[in-house]
Amino acid sequence: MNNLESKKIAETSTVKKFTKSVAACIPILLLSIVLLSGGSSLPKEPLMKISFSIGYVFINVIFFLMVYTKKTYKYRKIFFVIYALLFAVSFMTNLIEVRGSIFYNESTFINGGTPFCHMVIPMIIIPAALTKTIIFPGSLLTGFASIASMIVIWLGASIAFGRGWCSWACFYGGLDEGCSSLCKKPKLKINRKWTYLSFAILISIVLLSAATLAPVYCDWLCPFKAVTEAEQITSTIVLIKTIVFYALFLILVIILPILTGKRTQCGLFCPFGAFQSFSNKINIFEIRIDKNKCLNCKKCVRECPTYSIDENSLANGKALMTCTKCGKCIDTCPASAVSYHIKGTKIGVKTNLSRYLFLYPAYIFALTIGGGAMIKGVYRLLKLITTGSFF
Amino acid sequence: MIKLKAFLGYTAAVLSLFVVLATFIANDFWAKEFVNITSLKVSPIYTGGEVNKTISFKDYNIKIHKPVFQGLFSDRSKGFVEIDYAGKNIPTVISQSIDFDGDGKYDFYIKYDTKNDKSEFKSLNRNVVSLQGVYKITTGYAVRVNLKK
Repeated sequence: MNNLESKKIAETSTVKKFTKSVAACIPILLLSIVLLSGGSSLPKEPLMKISFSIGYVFINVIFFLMVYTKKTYKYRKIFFVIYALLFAVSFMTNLIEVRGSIFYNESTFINGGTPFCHMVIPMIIIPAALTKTIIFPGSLLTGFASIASMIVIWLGASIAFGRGWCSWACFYGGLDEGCSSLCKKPKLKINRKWTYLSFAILISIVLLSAATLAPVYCDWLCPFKAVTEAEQITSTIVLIKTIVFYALFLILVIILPILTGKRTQCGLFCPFGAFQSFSNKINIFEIRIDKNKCLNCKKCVRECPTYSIDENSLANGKALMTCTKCGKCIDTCPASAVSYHIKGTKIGVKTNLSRYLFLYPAYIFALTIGGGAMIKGVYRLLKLITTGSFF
Repeated sequence: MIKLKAFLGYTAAVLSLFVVLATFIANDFWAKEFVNITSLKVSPIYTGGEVNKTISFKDYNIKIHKPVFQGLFSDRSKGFVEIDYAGKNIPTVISQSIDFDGDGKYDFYIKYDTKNDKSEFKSLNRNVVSLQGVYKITTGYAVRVNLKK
């Protein structure tokens, strides 16, 4: 075979690969326009039209690259980080528009104007079962991020991809992931035993919330208060809480991820993440390691951002229950031994099919929950650039 | 058996796509169903609880809520009662004696200057402990008074 022939074969296979990838993107191209527009007509305001177009193109280009390059983690990460950043912009500006400020106080609680966040879910279960009430100052059905609507979204995600929530849907995880990506070479190693901390926090906050009938984690520990809403400082206690929120954000979401290259907030601290780990037990998708292909280089153990593969799990050929299905181990494995796997099927067989069957629901979920926030975030930024104000 | 397991696995994987679509497309429906099935409500600690009595005036009305002593298993010894002043023309200075338990005797006196955010409070019942606060709400003002059993 001469050079010309081999070049022609390579070109043909590239065209074939490209065509296949485009074909695989058609469902996302169609569904994303329906889901992002909410099934109604497309926006008419010019700036919103531009934001919508940017969001739509970005979402679809990311999916195309995921399919074409077969790199899940690399492109999911770009999506996830941008989603988290734009979510913060859109959330805070929305609060200012609706409520007048990002600060909340007792009045906000009594008015039921607090958007519901998935982090609260583990804390409301016992009180809901025993008192038939939800210990959160939000609205059950109306308004922005109502309680029932968010619970339905969480249930859907848990059934569809388990703890994949933490890498495909969570509005905060991208901040942690973005900072951990800044670490080229780890300067600090944290013992994986610290992953039990998130379970300890989970048990503590569930019990304390039941005892006090208040969402303790939101009141005292949530680092993401720093990028969403904050309590109006009217007393020393509120000042202490605010210091705790910002300190935890700085340490867990910025400093430690940069030093360790790990998602420390998600892997070591987040009680919702620990809670969501149990949904991996009932979920159909998992990460499996084909022991026949595995070189035992332990790259997956070192690279996993949430400490979800250790020597034991590697020997067992599967990730731990804390796995967020981010795909980093799959992308980094030099022997392609790690793959998305469907429970009940043979390991290492039809891995591409399993990957697609995971990618579609996970990405559709991500684009629906994140796309709206991204478009609104872009809109606010464009508004700021063009008019000098977010509103 | 292996083939059946694989078939069930792939079927469940395909179904998860429909679960995602149903989650978003029918979100309002599922949310309403969730509330209907579970009969859950937002805790009275935040909402102030059920309205027990409404006193109507020309331009505004006073909503007296049921006292809230909510605990996990049984009522707590400490609680509160909420009184809402709702309407378009709430007096600049609210000055009122309130009988929240309907025994014909006033339980506390509240004076609140809406302009200066200053309040005066007097307990007229031994179970009324103190004024927790006066809060601006969308419909007017909410007065919360600490109670004990």
